[in-house]
Amino acid sequence: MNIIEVKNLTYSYSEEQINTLHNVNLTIKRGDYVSILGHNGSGKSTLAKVIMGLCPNYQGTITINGKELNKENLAAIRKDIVMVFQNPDNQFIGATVEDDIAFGLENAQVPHKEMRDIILDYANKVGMSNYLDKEPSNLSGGQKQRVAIAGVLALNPKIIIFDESTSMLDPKGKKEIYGLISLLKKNNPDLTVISITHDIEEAYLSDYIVVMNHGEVIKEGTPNEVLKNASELAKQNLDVPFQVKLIDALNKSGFDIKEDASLEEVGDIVCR
Amino acid sequence: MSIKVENVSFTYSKKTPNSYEALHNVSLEIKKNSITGIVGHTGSGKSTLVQMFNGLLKPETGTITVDDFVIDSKQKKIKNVKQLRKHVGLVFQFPEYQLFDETVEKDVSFGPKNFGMNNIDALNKAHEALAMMGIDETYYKRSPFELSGGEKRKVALAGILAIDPDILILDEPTAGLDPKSSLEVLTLVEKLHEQGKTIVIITHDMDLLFRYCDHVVLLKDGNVAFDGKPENLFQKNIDDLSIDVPKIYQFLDILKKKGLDLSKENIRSVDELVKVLTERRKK
Ligand SMILES: Nc1ncnc2c1ncn2[C@@H]1O[C@H](COP(=O)(O)OP(=O)(O)OP(=O)(O)O)[C@@H](O)[C@H]1O
Ligand SMILES: Nc1ncnc2c1ncn2[C@@H]1O[C@H](COP(=O)(O)OP(=O)(O)OP(=O)(O)O)[C@@H](O)[C@H]1O
Ligand SMILES: [Mg+2]
Ligand SMILES: [Mg+2]
Repeated sequence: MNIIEVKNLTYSYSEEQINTLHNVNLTIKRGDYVSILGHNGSGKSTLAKVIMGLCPNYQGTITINGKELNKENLAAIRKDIVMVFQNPDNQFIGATVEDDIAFGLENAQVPHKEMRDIILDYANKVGMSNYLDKEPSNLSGGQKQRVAIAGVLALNPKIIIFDESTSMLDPKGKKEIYGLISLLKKNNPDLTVISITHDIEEAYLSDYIVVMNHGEVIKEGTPNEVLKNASELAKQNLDVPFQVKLIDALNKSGFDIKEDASLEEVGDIVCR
Repeated sequence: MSIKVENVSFTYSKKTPNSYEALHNVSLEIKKNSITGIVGHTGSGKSTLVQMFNGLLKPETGTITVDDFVIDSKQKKIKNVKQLRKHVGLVFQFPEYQLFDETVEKDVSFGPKNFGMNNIDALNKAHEALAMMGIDETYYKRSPFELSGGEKRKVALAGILAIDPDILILDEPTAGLDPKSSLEVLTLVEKLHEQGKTIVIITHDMDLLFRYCDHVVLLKDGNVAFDGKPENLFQKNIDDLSIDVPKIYQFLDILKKKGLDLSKENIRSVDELVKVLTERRKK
């Protein structure tokens, strides 16, 4: 079943400006991990904000978990869908890391006596349990991103949108967060994750990819459908996953390797 | 010489319950006209360290010498700090910390004006810097706060380029940039390096480090854990260092396990690798 349906969505921030989103149609399946790719200013964050009900003056219809996005349904929809903003500073409200996570839980009407355990659990999961009494604004860039992620995961939503939420994490931290997300998805296969990212290796591992370009969706499909053609990717200003780049270059110089071969298989062929 | 850091420590919110020592007795040297990468885990002290290079933070112990400028922890105030900021340009990790003015054009021309240029020259300089970052004239009158994440970073980068500093410090300059823009920024960095500038880049991207940097400093919990050439960094046991091996190294490692050891070939890119493999196949 589709958990998000966007039909004929057009949006512009002001009347003088041209359309930031132009006739976007998109369906997202329940339980999928979807990556949204696209150049800077292509409208990824705007699309996410419209879906979150933060940009009301749009044209088109948006349905989230069976409910149409409108004033009446907004409160109910906000229980289903949460978002980590591109700049974590825009998200922090509490004076300390603990208050900040608590604030979201309070909004979600989690009973007070359960809160402390949930906060500790998620702070622990993102490796920030030693920072609970720190001010969010005094954290390093990567620490801010970890706290912002903990804050939304703690809400136990049905849909999470990450807007470049791991862009400043160290490689180990990134792996830990992806590991955490896949664990959450394993425990709850219905959890839908939308990740706005420039990280092509991350996109390569997702279930579905959406490519935006100047406010339109220009391409969508599985990673194999969208990312297999190295020269076409380069034309669309997309990065090429290392594996695709390697296989493409080897085949161009006379090897014969399947497009979807693993690095191990490539290794076997070139070592022959 | 460019930057010499000697026995530098730094504590945030000293003498409060929130006091935190972010750097412990750090010493290192960044040579003139190098491209130095600073890497290390989240919270290791990278941003703290570089903010001392242009006098935004003052060391608690030790000294930092930046060419003709001496920043001594014993002095109350940093001398000639304005000239220092012209000499060393720092682009923040979050562009929002840097952007402040009503329009993109005013924001970027602030630096050159502040360092003595007249209005018209400063505007020209701003337009030139924005063009280098791929920001065209339709953006000049827009608010820098109503831009996409990547556009904000490009404007912030332009703001520092417009000052034309001799030492350029970039705190995660490619975070949030699309692949084409990242490449443009890095190509520009290479060009500035060729023109004689000294570059310091904080990054988590080991492919970037490996491709562009000739020197790397690895920080761990506020200490220098490695200082040397990038290729030697990955020969260390890196499991606990929160860094990653460049993808090409990972593949070379797979080949090695299968009995093909190419470690003597000094391969740095897919093209070089494919060339070596193709020649080997012909033999
Ligand atoms: N608050 C705003 N007011 C007016 N225009 C805006 C605002 N925010 C973004 N824009 C413009 O809308 C377009 C799409 O921006 P958006 O933030 O959705 O891009 P994005 O795909 O998320 O890009 P990035 O990868 O750089 O974050 C851009 O051209 C941007 O300049
Ligand atoms: N203003 C501040 N007040 C108190 N502590 C701070 C402040 N800024 C940073 N810190 C702490 O100092 C340590 C080093 O922070 P720094 O920002 O230098 O890390 P970093 O290496 O740049 O990390 P990242 O890769 O996450 O950006 C962190 O543990 C951080 O929580
Ligand atoms: Mg964005
Ligand atoms: Mg930092």
